[in-house]
Amino acid sequence: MRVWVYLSVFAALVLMTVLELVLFSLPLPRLIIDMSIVGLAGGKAILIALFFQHLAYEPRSLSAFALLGLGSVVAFLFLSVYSIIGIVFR
Amino acid sequence: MDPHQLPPSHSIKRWLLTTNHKDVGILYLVTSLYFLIVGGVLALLFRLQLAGPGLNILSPPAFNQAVTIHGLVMVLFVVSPLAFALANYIVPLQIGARDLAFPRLNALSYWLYLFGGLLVVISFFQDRTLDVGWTLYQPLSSAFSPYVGVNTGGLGLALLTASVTVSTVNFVVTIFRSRAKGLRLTALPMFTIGILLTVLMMLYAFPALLAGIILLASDRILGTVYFTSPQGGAILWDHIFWFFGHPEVYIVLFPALGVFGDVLVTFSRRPLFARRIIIAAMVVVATLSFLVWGHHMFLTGMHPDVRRAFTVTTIAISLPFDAIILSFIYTLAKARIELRTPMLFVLGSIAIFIIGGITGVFLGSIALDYVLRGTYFVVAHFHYTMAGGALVGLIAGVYYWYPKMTGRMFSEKLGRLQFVLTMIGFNMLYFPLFLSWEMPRRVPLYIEKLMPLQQIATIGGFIFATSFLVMFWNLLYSLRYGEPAGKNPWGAHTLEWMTESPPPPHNFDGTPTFADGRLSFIAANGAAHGEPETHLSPWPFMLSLASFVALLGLTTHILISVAGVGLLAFSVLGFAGERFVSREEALGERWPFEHVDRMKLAWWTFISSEVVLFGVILSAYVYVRTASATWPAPGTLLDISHGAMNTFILLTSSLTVVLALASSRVGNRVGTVGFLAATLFLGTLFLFNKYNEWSELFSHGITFSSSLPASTFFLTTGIHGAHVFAGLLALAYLLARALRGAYIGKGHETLEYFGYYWHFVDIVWVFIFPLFYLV
Repeated sequence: MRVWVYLSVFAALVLMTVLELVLFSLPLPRLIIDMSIVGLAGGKAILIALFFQHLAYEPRSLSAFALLGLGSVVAFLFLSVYSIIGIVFR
Repeated sequence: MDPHQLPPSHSIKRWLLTTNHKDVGILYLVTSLYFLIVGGVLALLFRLQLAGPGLNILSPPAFNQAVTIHGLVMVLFVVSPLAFALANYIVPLQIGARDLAFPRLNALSYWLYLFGGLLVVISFFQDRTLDVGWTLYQPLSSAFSPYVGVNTGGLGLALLTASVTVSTVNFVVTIFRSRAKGLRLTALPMFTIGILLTVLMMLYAFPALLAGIILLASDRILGTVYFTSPQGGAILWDHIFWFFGHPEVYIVLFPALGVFGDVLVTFSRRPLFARRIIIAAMVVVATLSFLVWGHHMFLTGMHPDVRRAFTVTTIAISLPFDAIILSFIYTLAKARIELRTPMLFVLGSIAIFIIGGITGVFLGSIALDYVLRGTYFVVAHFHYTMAGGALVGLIAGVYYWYPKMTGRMFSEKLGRLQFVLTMIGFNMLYFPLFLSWEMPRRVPLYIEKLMPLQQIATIGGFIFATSFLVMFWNLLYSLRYGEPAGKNPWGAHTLEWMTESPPPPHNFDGTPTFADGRLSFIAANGAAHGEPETHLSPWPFMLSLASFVALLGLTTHILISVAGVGLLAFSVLGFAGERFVSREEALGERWPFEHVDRMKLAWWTFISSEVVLFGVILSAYVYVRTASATWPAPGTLLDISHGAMNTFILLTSSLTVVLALASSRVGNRVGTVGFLAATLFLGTLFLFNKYNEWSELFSHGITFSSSLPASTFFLTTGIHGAHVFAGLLALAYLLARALRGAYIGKGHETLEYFGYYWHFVDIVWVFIFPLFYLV
């Protein structure tokens, strides 16, 4: 892996973090801001996994294996949160 | 002592230091049977209490403790470890490997399991142990059970989850990377396929349990309010616990399904009918097992859409089981069945499991669940599944492989006697519980009219217990007086039967291969080349003992804990510094990871489990925020500048780690050392900044127990900080070695593996920052 790739990825990560901070203070609807910030966080995570953890250069089977755990977490998050939508806890 | 040679089997040193998979298998077997006695005696005690409607043999608190520990011990310390006793011994033999991929980690997982179990047992002697039911429901176990023993028992479970994680990594890597040449995944013996799917489920289920235990321990010890606040509380725990708990049902069952497959083939002299469909069905069940947990929560008032979804998945998961059972039955059709003891147990177990499976479908119905939830019907159902299906199935496995493990045949007469006692005792014990469906579980008193059913159950319990005494006698007696077994007493076709009984330390005289479509042995064994492999190490035992002492001290005396931490540090250094030779098979079938070395696969497997651990903790945060009517706006509770600064620090540290790796690869010593030192500095700076942030919050009176926003922040960032701290300790070790010339030009893989962990910790922070500071 060439060093310039690492430096480019790092620059992108810093830029995306700055973008998160800028978005936070923009006068946009809260939902759009929140979704964009979380989306940027997801993008940063993908960049780190692909280039710093080198998944981009590994066999796809390894990425698929790594994604299995993520899939189970997404299922847990979605179903557990959906289960209480509209319920008021006092 | 020569670490390459195993001492004789009567030497205590051998059993304390061994890393050989067969020895570790025997250790698991003996220990799981010991815990079977513990759990069984507790069961007999509360069965005696239930022999009459108003007896006073156990006080209500003692009854609660007996029921709780019986459940936890049987599920976590008996059935699964018994499966892994067989797996340890048999899986490497079935795939043609000399040992598991990481023999020391294998020994470590055993000792962690043993000491975890000892913590649970010790908790009995500290005022009161876990007494809240094996499901540890909230807020009962957080707010209403203030006993020291409960904490000790919980720490025992935490140690067990560490054992399971280590074990799963080892089995995943072994089965994917150490198969004999030509042995495709789909051609593996059914037992090994069952174990592979089991460890994959464990990999994603047990971190959820660990996350739950961490949150619970935090509530009990630090005063956070995850489960004592209405916005978290009982339902959050239910989600976390059953996300682990339902796959756990299949985790205990799949090894038994594997035993069924191998035993049926051997004693019916026919190949398994629709073998590929069975495997596909097992894969579907393993996947669906993570999508059915909500059927344990139908009465919690969760959203109707989600209830419906869980009903569909619950009914759906029964369909692949139909295919599996039908395939087993078709295998037997018109076969010349040989009714030896293992086969009898398999047939009995399948019959029992069918009843357990059918009654499970009842519980998948929302309407029926309203009536049956929390009653003895549920108790009967899951004992038919987990005791009858899993435990009795594994007993078949013990008998099946006993000749291979000991070189002796057991007494067929005693085996048949045990089978008869098991079938009578089991059904007398559990079938009346279906009929006691009006009776709430976990209550020592009941109405008069249920007395006959309960008395039949108690008598059945004692008959069932007697059947195990017959088994113990049979196994012990035959060890000395049994007929010599020879290589293959059953005329079976799987690889473990093609070597001596018991097998030599290196398993096979020659390297097994299926390269030309049938089994043959390549003359020179891989172990014969180069330095001999090591089979002994003191460090797995020492590490586990140190962890045990450190955790025990937390609930007894802090100085004991300090001594434990000191011993732990010493043991970690000893483990890391030990020269331990364990080579991967030179020839092997490795699809789909041919181009991923075993250490890399091990790290990614570990990180997968970490994904679930943090995923559940972050999900708990999203959950309580969703459940809360109000939440502090960004920037009000937390100072965004702290979070932003730490984000830049960690991102930079990720860069310095990859630059250290790049320097190492090109042999640049100054660069390697410099970038590692920079990472160490940045990681320390991160923790220092975190310390300042926490101090500021404390100075403003915001503590762990102030509110849910405070609790979630401290707990989530605390666990993340602990991971950073662990990374810094590893980094300090790497830096010290790099200063002495390590990793320059060669050995850079170690830095890459460390990087996987460090970048993962960075990724977690990448999500913590926006979720806690900006959104």
